[in-house]
Amino acid sequence: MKENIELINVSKEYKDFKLDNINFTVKEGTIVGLIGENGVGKTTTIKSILNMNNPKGSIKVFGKDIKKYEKEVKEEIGTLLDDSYLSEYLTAKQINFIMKDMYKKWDENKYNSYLKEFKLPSNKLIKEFSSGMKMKLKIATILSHNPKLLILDEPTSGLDPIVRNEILDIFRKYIEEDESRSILISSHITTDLEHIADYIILIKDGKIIFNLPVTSLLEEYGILRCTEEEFKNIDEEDYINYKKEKYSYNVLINDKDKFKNKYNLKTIDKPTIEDIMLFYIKGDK
Amino acid sequence: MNTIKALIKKDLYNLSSYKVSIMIVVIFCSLAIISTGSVNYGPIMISTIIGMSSLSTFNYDEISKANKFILTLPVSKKEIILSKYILTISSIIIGGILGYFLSIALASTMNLFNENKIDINLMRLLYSTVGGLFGISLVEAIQIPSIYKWGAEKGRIQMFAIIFSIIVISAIGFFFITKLNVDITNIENFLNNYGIIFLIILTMIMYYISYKISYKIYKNKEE
Amino acid sequence: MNIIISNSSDIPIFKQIENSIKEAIIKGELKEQELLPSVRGLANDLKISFLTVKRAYDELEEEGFIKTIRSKGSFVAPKNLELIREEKLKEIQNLIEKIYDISKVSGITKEDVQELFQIIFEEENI
Repeated sequence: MKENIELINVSKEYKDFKLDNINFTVKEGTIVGLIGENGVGKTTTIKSILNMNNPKGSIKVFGKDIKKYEKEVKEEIGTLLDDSYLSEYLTAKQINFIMKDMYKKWDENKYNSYLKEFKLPSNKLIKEFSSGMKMKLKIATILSHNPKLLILDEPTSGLDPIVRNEILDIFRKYIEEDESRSILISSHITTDLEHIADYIILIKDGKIIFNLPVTSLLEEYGILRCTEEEFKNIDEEDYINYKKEKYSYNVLINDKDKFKNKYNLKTIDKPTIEDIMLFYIKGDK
Repeated sequence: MNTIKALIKKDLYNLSSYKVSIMIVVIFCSLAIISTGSVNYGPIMISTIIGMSSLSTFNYDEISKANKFILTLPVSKKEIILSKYILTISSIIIGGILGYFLSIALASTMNLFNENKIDINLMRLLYSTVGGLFGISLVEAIQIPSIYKWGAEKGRIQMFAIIFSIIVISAIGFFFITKLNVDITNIENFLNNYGIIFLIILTMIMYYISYKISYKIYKNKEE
Repeated sequence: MNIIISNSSDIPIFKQIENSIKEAIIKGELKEQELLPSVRGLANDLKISFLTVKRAYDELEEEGFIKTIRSKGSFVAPKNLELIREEKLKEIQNLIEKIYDISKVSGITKEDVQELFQIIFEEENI
């Protein structure tokens, strides 16, 4: 599989924050989720990929150096960043006239069919749209030039569960249409990512803590519930982190089958990605 | 070039809600011209109104965080800035032309009904138009970089500070010129003969420097 | 074809998918040469990662249930079905032999075992 995004030793320093030596790839046909608390570097990472903040290190998109081929590469990307957009004082129809000149490959028919599919009025000011409608219009705007890569920063935040699911379905459909497409999606709503991402990257304090397939997180990781005595008998290399509760110990393990073979401890729950994230960020180890 | 066109379209659509208020102000100005008979100020007023309205596109951009979005599109920072200068300069020129002909039209209409005719001096009107355009251009050439530096809201205060200091500096300069007893009749002659061309060239240089400064500021700014 | 996935089950998701597809093939719901849903398509419909589906398909292919042709998709494998049935029968035979061993050692009668069998099969039918 070819890589649609490749980051090698990417760093970016601010006064009070540092993105530290980030390395990861997004392969063709995959959806990669970025998780972590607010302000740990998710958006900075995304901005680096888009060459918006002058980062150090090597960033390749579609195998091309973003710093050299910025324009060419951006013709093939669709991005949602923060709550930014062209303007709220326009209509969906005017957006079409603008974007027609913006992208060489803008597909007017596709845009109009999205408007129809998402039930968006074309002559109403965007300002008057609901937040769900605004997001759908943004999505229609970033999909209508048939990008090879979607970069989505918190696309579901602030939306109700029904709209959130509709939006995730749009992205599922998008990736299914063409095997060479990829999505990089950041969210603090980890349940959304659990149901759409193939790989999860956890970022903490500007560093990557792990980069793993969702499958192994959900099926190989486990949360052991045990007593203090039992916990003291576990070798340190056999668990990732633990949390001391009032009446018990909760322990995150990354290979429950192996663990079950070694220890006679059976109360092991399946974790959610949020559980795993909390152990890594707030664990006592 | 197409992407610059797209950016200008975005600004024009944003401004379309201004159509009515611009019309009202233009009508108001026409009334002012008629009642005072000061035809020569017509072009200045009209081009100021239309030229300044292009600056409000910066406010629209700020509200929607437009530049953050635009920088994810196949557009460079250079093109973003260029589009703003093209929009500003052309709106000032259009305002000037409109003001010029509107003033002539107003004066001619007034002369139809009035006893004491207004003297329509096309050359003088042209001088005042170009002079007006120069003045507004000076303001905008200062304001655009300051918006890039401090933002559309804050930039305004900074701009007044800069304009004020320019006035003070030129006053001091003028004071010294008179003090030093330099013969300024040569300069006056020069201005009378080549005034319009001189002002146009000066305006172009001003915009060029302003553009360079804006680009330098914006290049290192992170949206 | 029905694919029912339970998150609370101890069986890994890929195995659950694998079993559902096997069942459909053995029951004849999926015919020989029939095209299976694409990996990404099935992943989207089940709202899970495509890697999970891929693993299920890989194992099915290894066991000879399906055949994947690059850029065309995965198909139900021909012929092997009889072989699979035989294999399963063999597996069952092995298990029954184990039952036989246990019952012999602990003095459980054939009738006891048969009764247990009856109960389990009836439960299944409910």
